[in-house]
Parts: sequence; C-alpha cells; structure tokens
Amino acid sequence: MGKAFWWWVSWFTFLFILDFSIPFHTLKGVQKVTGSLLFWIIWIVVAIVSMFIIFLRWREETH
Amino acid sequence: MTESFYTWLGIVIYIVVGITVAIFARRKLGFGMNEFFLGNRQIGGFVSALTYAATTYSAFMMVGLAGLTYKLGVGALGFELTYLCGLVLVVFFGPRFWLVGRKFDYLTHAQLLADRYQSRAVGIAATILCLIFLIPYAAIQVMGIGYLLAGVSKGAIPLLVGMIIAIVLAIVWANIAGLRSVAWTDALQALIMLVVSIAAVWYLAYRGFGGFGGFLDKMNKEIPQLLAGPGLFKFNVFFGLALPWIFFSLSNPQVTQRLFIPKSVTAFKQMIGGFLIFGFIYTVVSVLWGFGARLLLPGLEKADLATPLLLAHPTIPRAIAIIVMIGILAAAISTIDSILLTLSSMVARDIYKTGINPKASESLELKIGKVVIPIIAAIFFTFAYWAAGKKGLAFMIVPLSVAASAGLLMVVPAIVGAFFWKRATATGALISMVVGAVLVLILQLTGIKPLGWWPGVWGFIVCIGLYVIVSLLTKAPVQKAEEFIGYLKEELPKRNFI
Repeated sequence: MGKAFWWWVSWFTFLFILDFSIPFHTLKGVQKVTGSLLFWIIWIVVAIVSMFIIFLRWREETH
Repeated sequence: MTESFYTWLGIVIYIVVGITVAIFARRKLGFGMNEFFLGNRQIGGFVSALTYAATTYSAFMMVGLAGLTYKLGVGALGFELTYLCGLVLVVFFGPRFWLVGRKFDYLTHAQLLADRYQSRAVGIAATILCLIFLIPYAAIQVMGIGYLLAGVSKGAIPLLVGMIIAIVLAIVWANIAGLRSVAWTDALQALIMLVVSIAAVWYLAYRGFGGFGGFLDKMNKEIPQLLAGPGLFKFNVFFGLALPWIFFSLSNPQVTQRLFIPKSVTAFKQMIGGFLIFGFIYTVVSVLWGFGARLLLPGLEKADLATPLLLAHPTIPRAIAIIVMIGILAAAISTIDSILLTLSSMVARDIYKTGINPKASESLELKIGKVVIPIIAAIFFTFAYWAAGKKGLAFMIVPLSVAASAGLLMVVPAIVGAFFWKRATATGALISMVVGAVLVLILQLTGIKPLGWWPGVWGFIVCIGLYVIVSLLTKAPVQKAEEFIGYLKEELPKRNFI
C-alpha cells in the first residue's frame, strides 16, 4: 500500500468525521433546508467526486 | 374499467416484459457454476452498474427510507448518504475481490475466506451467517410488496397474493438464466425504479406545492424541527443505523458477488460510477418523497404507511400511483432474486461442495444450486407470512433491515484482514464471526442496548477485538497469505489500482 492509499484513507476518514459531526453540532440550530439537507448533499457530491478521481485512473492491464 | 383492473394490467405488463428480458438473457447462457452464478465474469459495465443498484436498493428506499424521513427527518438523508459514501470500500476492495476472484476462481466471499484462511469451517460459518441474517431481510421485501400492493389497490390485491407474486417472480427470474437473467431484469428494473421515482416526486412537487420552490418553502415553514441538525435522530440511533450500512458493500454477499462479475477494468469503473450517480439521485428522490408525505399526510401513526397512503392521495394521479407501485415492486423483487441466487450459490459451493462433498462434479453442484433456489424462496415466504401476521412488534422495515446488516457486519473484519493482514488466522476469523453474530442476535432479540448503543456497534467492537487477539494467539496460514497478498501486491499496480 503506497502513499496514495493512505492519503485517500485519511481523506475519507475526515469526510466521515464531518458527516457525523457537522449536522449534530454546527447545524443543530439551523431549521431550514439550507442546513443539514444542503450540507449532506454537498458532502456526498464531494465524496463521489473523490471516488471518481480514484477510479478514473484505473486502466486495463499494462504489460 | 375499475381501478383494480389497471393495477393488475400494470403488474401483468411488468411480468411479461421481465420474463421476455430474462428469456432473452438465456440465449447467452453456457454451462457451469461460474456461468450460472457469475455470468462467466463477463458482464458489461452498464448492466453491472444497474444490477448493483437494483440489488442494493430495495423497497426499503421508497417505503422504509421515506417512512424514516417522515418520522425522524433529514437525518434519514444523512444515514442513507453515509451508506453511499461507504462505497469507497468498493473503490478500495473491489479491485482486490475482482483480481483474486479470477485468479483463484472464487464464486462467493465465503469461498474466498475459506481458501484464504485455509479453513472449510470459516467458509461454512460465513455462509450460515448470511443465511441467518439475509432471511429476515429478504422476507421484509416480500412482506413489503404484499402491503404495498394491498394498499395501492385498496385491497383488490390481497396481502397474500402480493407476496406470492413476489416470490414466484424471484424464483422464475433466478432460474431462467441465473445471474444473466437476474442482472438483465435488474437492469430493466433499476431503470424503472429511477424513472418512476423521479416522475413521482416531480408530480408531488408541482401538483402538491406548485413546484420545487414551493415544496422547499413549505418544508421550511411547516416542519422546521425535521430539518434542524439531524432532525429527530439521536446520535446513537444515527450511528447504530449508519455503521452497518457503511460496510454494506463488504458484508452483504449478494453485493460482494457482484464484484466478481465485470468483464474488464473499464466495466468495473462503469459499474462504480453508474451506481454512485444512481444512488445519489434515488436517495434524494426517496427522501423528498418522505418529506412530501409528511406535509400532505401529517399525523400518521405508522410511518411505514406513508408511501402507500401518499400513492392513494389525490395529489398523485392514479396512473402515476400505479407506475410508482410497479417501480417499488421492481425494487423489491430485484433485491429478492439477487439474494436468492447468491444464497443458492453459497449453499451449493460453500456448504455442499466445500463442506459435505468435495468430490462433487460441477454439474451436481449446479444441480444442487438450482434445487436450493425454490427451497430458500419458500423460507423467505414463510418468514414473511409469519411476520405479516404479527401486530405490535418492532416489525418496522428499517430496524429489521439494519438488524440484518448488523449481523452480516461480523464478517467484515475477516474480509479486511484477508486482504491486508498476513498474521490473521482461521481461528480468529471463525471466533470473531460466530461470537459477534451471536451477540448481535441476543441484543437484537432481547432489545438490550447497553449504554444506548445498538447491537451492531457492540457486535462490531467485540468482533474486531476477538479477531485481532485470537489471531495473535494462533497460527496463521503463512503460505496462503503470502500467495494471496503477494499476488495482489504484484497485480494491483499493473492497473493503477490503489
């Protein structure tokens, strides 16, 4: 496992920490769709784009 | 023409189209276990993505998740998107499954574990775990279809008839051409699920609230308590629901089996990308549907009834309601037949061939797999029928689905260790799975939640601890570990896998 592997593990760990912490603390008092609903949508878009960045680099076997 | 006529017409069209697709898929069917249960590992990216989506997303989404949103608010979105983010595990582990599946000819993740740990007992235990926990999960789908059809048809389709339709279709589609017919019908059904759910929410927004702007405004004004923070979710409930779901892509055999099927790296990329886009849209749509139900039908005692009752609401045209019902039916059946096929392959390969008769020919093994399909289906049906008759129990769709995932979670440490930890042992894998699963079952059945944490959380902590400690105290299959992990170390960089 190279540096890239651990970098991405750290990045997704960070994303999961945000997932559990921001809505339960920072956005606790925001009673609007621009609160947690918008946060989670932006959060997953960031996660999905991150996954795309990883797997779009995959290629068929090179000899 | 009566309403029940149109409901039946919709169902008949769905069945005829589905069977036609399944028969079409049969044209390419060859012989053997790999062929029947994995489509000979030659499934294209488009179909792989849609079968992954249809297998993962069940009636839970438009019924259970919508109900959860109705009851507890925006945290339902967070919980389901947390699952979707868990797909990063497929990005990390998927290529590893795919590579070793081809190299060592694995059919199921239980077979992978048995071989990697050099222990038949590990494979059998993993299979039994899947059987125990997937039966209630699949049965819920069957039950959900029964309730849905009865609700939308206003009793014209009795509960029992709906459940029989579900089971018979699952058996037929699994039997016609194995994975090929399941994957192709899944692809069709995934498209139906997505299109009709989007159409339903579109109608809901425009007919119910004058557009999406009006819909969101009304949410802000009328249900602010469901939008604040995680809604009405407490942290331990959210975490207890989300944890097993994060690992769903590694713990559920019907999903891990799909990591063996793409025909190329390109197909694998298309599978993951397609699923992520599908999952994002379908989740947001299902949650909006739940919020819409809350605004139009406030005060329901049973949140799981939100969808059937919303479909009967004047806001939703009857034609759309019937089409949505077909979409939910498709979501449930596509999950049931995938589970059915996977469990059958596990019984044939991991219990019969590995555990009982290692000398069995491939044709006998295949025959066993096919015979088991209706038997497992009968068990699903029996459980569903029994559960449908219970009143006042915690037979809500979400907790039972999560209980299933919590139990299956106990296989995750053994899977992760198989790929990364040469020191891991069969005894460690076996004890962690068995003790973890028994603990989850006890906590689930007794309703005990020590310190307020859910069974999956406790089971997972105990499971990881036992896996590490017992592995350190017992002897590892060094040669196999070297071969397995060494092969991956050599092959992963060739394709730029991380």
